[in-house]
Amino acid sequence: MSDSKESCLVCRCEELTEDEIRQAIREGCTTLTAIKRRTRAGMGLCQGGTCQRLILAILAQETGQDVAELVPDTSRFPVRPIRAELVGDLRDGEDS
Amino acid sequence: MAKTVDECQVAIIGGGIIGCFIGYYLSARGMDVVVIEKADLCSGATGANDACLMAQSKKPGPKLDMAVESAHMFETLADELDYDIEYVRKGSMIIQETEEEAQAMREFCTAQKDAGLPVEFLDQRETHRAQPCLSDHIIGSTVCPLDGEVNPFALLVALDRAIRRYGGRIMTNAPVVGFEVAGNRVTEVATDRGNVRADVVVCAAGAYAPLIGNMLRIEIPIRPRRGQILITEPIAPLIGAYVMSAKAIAAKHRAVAVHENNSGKDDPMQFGLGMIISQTVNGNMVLGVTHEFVGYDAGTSIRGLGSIARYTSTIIPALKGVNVIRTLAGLRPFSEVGGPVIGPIGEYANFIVVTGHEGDGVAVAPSTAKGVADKIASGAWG
Repeated sequence: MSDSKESCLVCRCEELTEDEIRQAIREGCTTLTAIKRRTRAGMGLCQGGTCQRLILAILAQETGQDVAELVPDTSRFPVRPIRAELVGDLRDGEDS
Repeated sequence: MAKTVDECQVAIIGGGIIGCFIGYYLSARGMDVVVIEKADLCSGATGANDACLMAQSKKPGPKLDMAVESAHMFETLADELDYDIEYVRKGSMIIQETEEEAQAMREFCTAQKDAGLPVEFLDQRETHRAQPCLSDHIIGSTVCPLDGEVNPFALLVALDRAIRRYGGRIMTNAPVVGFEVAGNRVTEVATDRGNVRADVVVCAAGAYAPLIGNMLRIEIPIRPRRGQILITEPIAPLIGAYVMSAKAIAAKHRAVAVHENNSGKDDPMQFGLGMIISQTVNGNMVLGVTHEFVGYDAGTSIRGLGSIARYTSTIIPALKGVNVIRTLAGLRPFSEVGGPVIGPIGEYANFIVVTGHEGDGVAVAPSTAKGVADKIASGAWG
């Protein structure tokens, strides 16, 4: 692996490199969610919009699995940033 | 019998804050440990945490003592673990919205002061000077400078690395499926990834402890209680000390009439129970938290999230315009017996249960785990 690849930025919001993602996998992370908890990758403003696919590809490569076999991240509200005021307008009877 | 894949002195079920702290203190004393986790470390209640370590919310007694002792232990943990766990001590502030709440807090905090906890009473002016973002209707507050915050994810990484440095093992994606027993001893923990032979078995499975207990026909008096949390985008420093509401304490300790806010009858935040507003080192606002009995459903609900957003915005109006970027929920181990369940339970002398801290797991974990490790290492338990 070349130096440039090791320092390649994967998660722009939280500023994590490819090497840091691979390190988390080597320390035992086997899912996207585990990598997120350990490194903060995907916890920024875009919530993994950019890095999710890149991290899945790295995870597949490191674990010898197919991307389709990997456990997807937990999907939760909201899909994109939403003002707290609007969250407060949500009431009973609506499901998440 | 399934294949035995590892052997150790102490097998710990649960890779959350309690299990990993016990693993750390035992391995630091030279004992051989294996932590068995059904998913990934920090994937349960520890990972769905408000990050606040609260002593001020506890009445004098064992719980307060554990929280105070842990607060002192947190001071040196980053050095001890050689890892930045983002521990900061900005204090906690419990705000009062009504005269009843103020009265309840005067009594509550006087008892705490008598017990030696550093607590200051702030009047309306002092409260708003300390935290200018608070709504004008807040009439006063109490502040405890001993209370701090920690990044639970970083803390778990630090404990994971420390346990491995001492030679301990961490088995992830290894759900427990049963046990092997001989007489009054548990001899092996059976997992999806093989069996672990152990002299002592610790069950630190949090809200899932009763399901583990069932495998040994032991009843563990714990129920899952769901806490939902909102995380906002990072913003410039808005608050210093994290903010809690006196409503829960007034309701719990004095049974005073609690005024409903306008958010509906069965609103999970109707009494402001457990309201928490904090700001992480990164600048994200953490808004929480619900207390709901919904079985083992760790999902978020629009009803819960909506009520948190409404209530916290009445306390800090500036929150209305801040973007929510993420939501989370975790199942906390609510104790049916009014306090944590710690010690050998049932007919097996070497099966030690440590759970039931509900939302205080992280705040009391260091002292709790150290105490448990002492009992196991000395041979008193097991």
